[in-house]
Amino acid sequence: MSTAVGREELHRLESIWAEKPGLRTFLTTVDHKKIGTRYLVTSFAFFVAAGLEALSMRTQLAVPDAGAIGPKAYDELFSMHGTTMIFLFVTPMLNGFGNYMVPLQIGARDMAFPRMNALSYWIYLASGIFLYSSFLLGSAPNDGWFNYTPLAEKAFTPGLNIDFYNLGLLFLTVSSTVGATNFLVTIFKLRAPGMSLNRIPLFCWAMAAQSFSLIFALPALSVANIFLELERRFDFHFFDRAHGGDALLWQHLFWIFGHPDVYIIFLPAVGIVSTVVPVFARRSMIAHDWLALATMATAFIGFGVWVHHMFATGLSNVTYAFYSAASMVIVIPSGVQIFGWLATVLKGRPVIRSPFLYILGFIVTFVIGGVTGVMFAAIPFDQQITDSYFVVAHFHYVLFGGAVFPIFAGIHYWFPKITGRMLDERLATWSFWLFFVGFNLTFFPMHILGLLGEPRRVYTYHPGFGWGLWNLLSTIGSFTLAVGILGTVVNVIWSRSSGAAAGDDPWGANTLEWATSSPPPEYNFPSIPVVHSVDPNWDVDDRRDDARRLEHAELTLSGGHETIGTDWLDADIEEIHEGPSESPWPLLLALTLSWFFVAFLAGHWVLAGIGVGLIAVAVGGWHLKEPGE
Amino acid sequence: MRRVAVAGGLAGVCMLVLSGCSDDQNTLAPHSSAARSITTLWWVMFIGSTIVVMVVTLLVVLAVLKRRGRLDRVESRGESPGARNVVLISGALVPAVVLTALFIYVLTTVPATAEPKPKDAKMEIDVTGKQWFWAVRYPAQRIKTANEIHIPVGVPVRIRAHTDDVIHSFWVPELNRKIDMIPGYDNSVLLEADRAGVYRGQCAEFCGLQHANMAFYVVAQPRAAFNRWVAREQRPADTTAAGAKVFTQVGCGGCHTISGLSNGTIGPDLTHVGGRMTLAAGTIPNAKGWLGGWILDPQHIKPGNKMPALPVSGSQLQQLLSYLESLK
Amino acid sequence: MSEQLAVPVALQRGRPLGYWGMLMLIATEAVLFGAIIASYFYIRFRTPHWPPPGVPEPKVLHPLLLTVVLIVSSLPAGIASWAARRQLPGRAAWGLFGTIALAAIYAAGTLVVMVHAWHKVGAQHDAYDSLFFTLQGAHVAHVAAGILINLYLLVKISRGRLTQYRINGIWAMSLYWHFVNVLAVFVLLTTISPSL
Repeated sequence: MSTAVGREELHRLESIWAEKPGLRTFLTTVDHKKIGTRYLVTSFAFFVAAGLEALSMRTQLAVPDAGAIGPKAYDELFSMHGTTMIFLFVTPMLNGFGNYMVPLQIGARDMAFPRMNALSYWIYLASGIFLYSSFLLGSAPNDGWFNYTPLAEKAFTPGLNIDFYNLGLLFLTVSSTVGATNFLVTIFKLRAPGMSLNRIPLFCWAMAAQSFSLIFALPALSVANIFLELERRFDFHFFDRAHGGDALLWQHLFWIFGHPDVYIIFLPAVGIVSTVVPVFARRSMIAHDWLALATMATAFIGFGVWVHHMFATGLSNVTYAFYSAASMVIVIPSGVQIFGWLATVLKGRPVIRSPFLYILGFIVTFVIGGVTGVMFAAIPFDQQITDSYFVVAHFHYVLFGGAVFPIFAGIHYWFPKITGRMLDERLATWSFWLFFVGFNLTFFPMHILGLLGEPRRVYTYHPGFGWGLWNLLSTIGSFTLAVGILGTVVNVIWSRSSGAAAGDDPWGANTLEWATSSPPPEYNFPSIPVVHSVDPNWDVDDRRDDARRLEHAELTLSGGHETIGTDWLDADIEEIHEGPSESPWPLLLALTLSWFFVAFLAGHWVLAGIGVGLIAVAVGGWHLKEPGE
Repeated sequence: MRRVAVAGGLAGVCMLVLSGCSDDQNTLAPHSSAARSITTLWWVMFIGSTIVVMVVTLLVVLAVLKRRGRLDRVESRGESPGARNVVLISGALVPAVVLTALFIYVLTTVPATAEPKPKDAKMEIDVTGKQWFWAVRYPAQRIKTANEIHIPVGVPVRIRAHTDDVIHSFWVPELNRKIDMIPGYDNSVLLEADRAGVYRGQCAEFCGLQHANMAFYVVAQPRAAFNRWVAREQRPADTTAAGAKVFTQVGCGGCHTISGLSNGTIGPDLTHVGGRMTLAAGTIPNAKGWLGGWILDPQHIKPGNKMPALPVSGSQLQQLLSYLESLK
Repeated sequence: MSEQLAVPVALQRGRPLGYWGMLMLIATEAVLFGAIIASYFYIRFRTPHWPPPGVPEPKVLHPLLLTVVLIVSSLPAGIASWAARRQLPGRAAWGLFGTIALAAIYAAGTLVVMVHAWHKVGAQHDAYDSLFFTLQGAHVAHVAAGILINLYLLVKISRGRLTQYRINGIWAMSLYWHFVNVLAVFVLLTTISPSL
């Protein structure tokens, strides 16, 4: 039943928010949905790149003394595999889902800072291209994703490899920091009226926890990168013994970032798990508040465990005991989450569809990774087995199991919302099983290889130690996994044009992104939803009230690019925020930053100086036109 | 229940297979009390972990076997106090208790594998990691060698772990945990073999292009045999042989030390190279053919390592090989 | 726009989004400097001679005076923010001007101190020197960036209206300014710590 008032409001919203298709919009959009989709596509491309790097390595390691890939190429492959997966795939992919879904789940029309959102993406793309251009120069980073000094210093790695690494990561950090700020302000200030703190969806809690972690962890990495680059370019001293420096300073700085980073990866992924579980269990999440708390607790405790990466460096046992204890304590919040999910499923009536398959796969693989993680907290065991293939097995179980499985669940769950079409369930199921079997076949044998004494980061190994069989199985597994992934890629491409129509809410889901069309209109919601529970899309009366409000032009905010601002605790209405429409400045600023980093890499100080000036101009230009002008 | 039996059987097979698989670098074939305490710790945690994984997998299977719901029906909206308690007990309380017990157990295992103080050992050996070999020095016996460490059986030996360049890691899995070699740090690890044998070690911290080919051997011998080895190592090298002249002519002495002949430190000490089991840090066997191939084209065997292929004629090579093989 | 709402409305307007964004930026920059300062003390406590032999102990008086000048600039910065929020463009402009002037004195003076120190012993001498110049340089760079942004704001409000956007900008920048000033104390204490 639609009235003239309602129709007129829709008209107004459409004309305010419409972005004309074309190149100009492509370069200047600030729409979180378009930016989110870009993040998803770009990060998946990097996933494929890193996956090909992995397949190359597995081919070389399939048999002893294979001789297929030499150490120079291999070192670049394993370094870029890790760097790509961690920095260019998994976090941006999760941020892609975050970008698309967080505003929808909180009932907002866009992120708090739409132009900064676009900026985050352009910088991410630029820094990814920057890092990968190193391959073209035959100088890809080659000292591992962790890049320990002294090996990464100029004396031992004189080429541009490490400069690409330092500058590429510094560049990317700008994107991550801006993104984190954006998510935090969005989640705490732009929620729908009535969405008090205890009604925030768990995926949004996860993005908030991730963003807090990024804010506090990234600077440690940046300082490490800055120090090393100053050493390499200007002969400063921070890590070299001969001039008063300390090699372990790098490790401390790196892991103070690096350990929280795994939670930066893991938390949004379990946010996806917490999103999918209630829907396919057909009931509210059990202990929703404990799970939110567990998310925050994991992020917080994650800052206190980094020395467990350094158990073999010869620090004091008293120090080690503290970090061992902390590394065990962090298991507790994860345990609460796992049993929360299991309880919800067991007390519900499960519906098995492809997103849920990946969730079940996640639970099993993540727990396997988790128990080996506990093993690493046992100091003497860690001292025996760290830097062997056992740790490679462990972190792939927690990172692939703990993040990639949920990402694939997210792909299958949210594909209908983003494209308006359903994926093919049969192809998805086949792909899942190849994926699951392939993953386990690839990584389970690595536990055995580590126990048999095979060190990690080796381009080859010799026969006679019993390593050949397990390596071969692992390689077979990796190709199986690749086929499973390929199945999903084919499914996505095919279903985009030929999949069944999805409708607004094919899963009967409980969060607000399903309260609007698939894909959502530019303005997300015709009237801002008002929320009274933790499962707003299951509150049928509330959603009918939204429609009624549209017919009375209430909370339609059709005066401009508007969304509602609410207070952080109870989400009471504070004011209406006017946001920007398309703007060229995010792309321009990203280009000026690229100029600076390329010039610095090339050692052209004058050009770099000009770059700084251009950056200042771009920042100035950004603020030239104010909203409402 | 059948699943549990299968899983248990599988675990058992794994244990058998792993402990018998290979004898060189196997953490599950410990040959010292330190390594054994780690292996025991591993089995305890493995059993506990298997139980946890089986319980969770069981719950997942149960979930899948449950009566199915429908996407157009919501089963339940409310909280469930009973389920909340189960979540807290199984997710927080039980892990807290188990992990506390584990932590206490772990603390008791730390002393067995801790870095030794000088008084904990009867002998000291200095090992310096260098890209990509191990320089070994016995201060008391005044021996210098490389890539092969001999120790007397049953005697606690303190290995002092240093580096001349980047971070390496000294790791002999069957004898003890690894210890990193960090510039400016004085780390150490205790080796005490409980039976005679040859134990392989390998660098366990990525150190550049030939990290994969930076291995070494620890040879544990009965006292008498060890003393004989020491005596051999203490003998000066023959510097008058024809091959010695070739060694100098070709320029090997720029990187390698043969005591009395040269003083190079970029490559391993070769004073008693003939007596070693392997060459190039455990990469190739010590036999004339291999040695010849190595000298002619080191980059082929260990690409990126620091040894160039110095020009050497056929007859020079033969003399050199005989000489080096004679340095036992 | 909507008028009647059967929903709860907060009693006072919230702070602008830019305010919260600036707080996040301050948090991350604080950790950045925290990491540099922690690195300084990490190296210090591993080093028997600090400063290393041949390096003079750091000056105390000049840096202390300069830091006082910078901290005083929080006053005009606060006045600018207060005046802007009360729609007093003239006073806001003077506040910005005062902030810029005092900060410029600090920046110029600190650069002089650094150049003198560099001529004596450059950053390439030892970790002590590298840490000193990096820490001090990072701080001065943040002051310089703040000066530039305040200049931009000053020009905008001198030539145009005091729009809400500009008010929010001045408000956010005043936060940045107080942060940079508090940071100056920590940077000072760290760099002169060998002389204390």
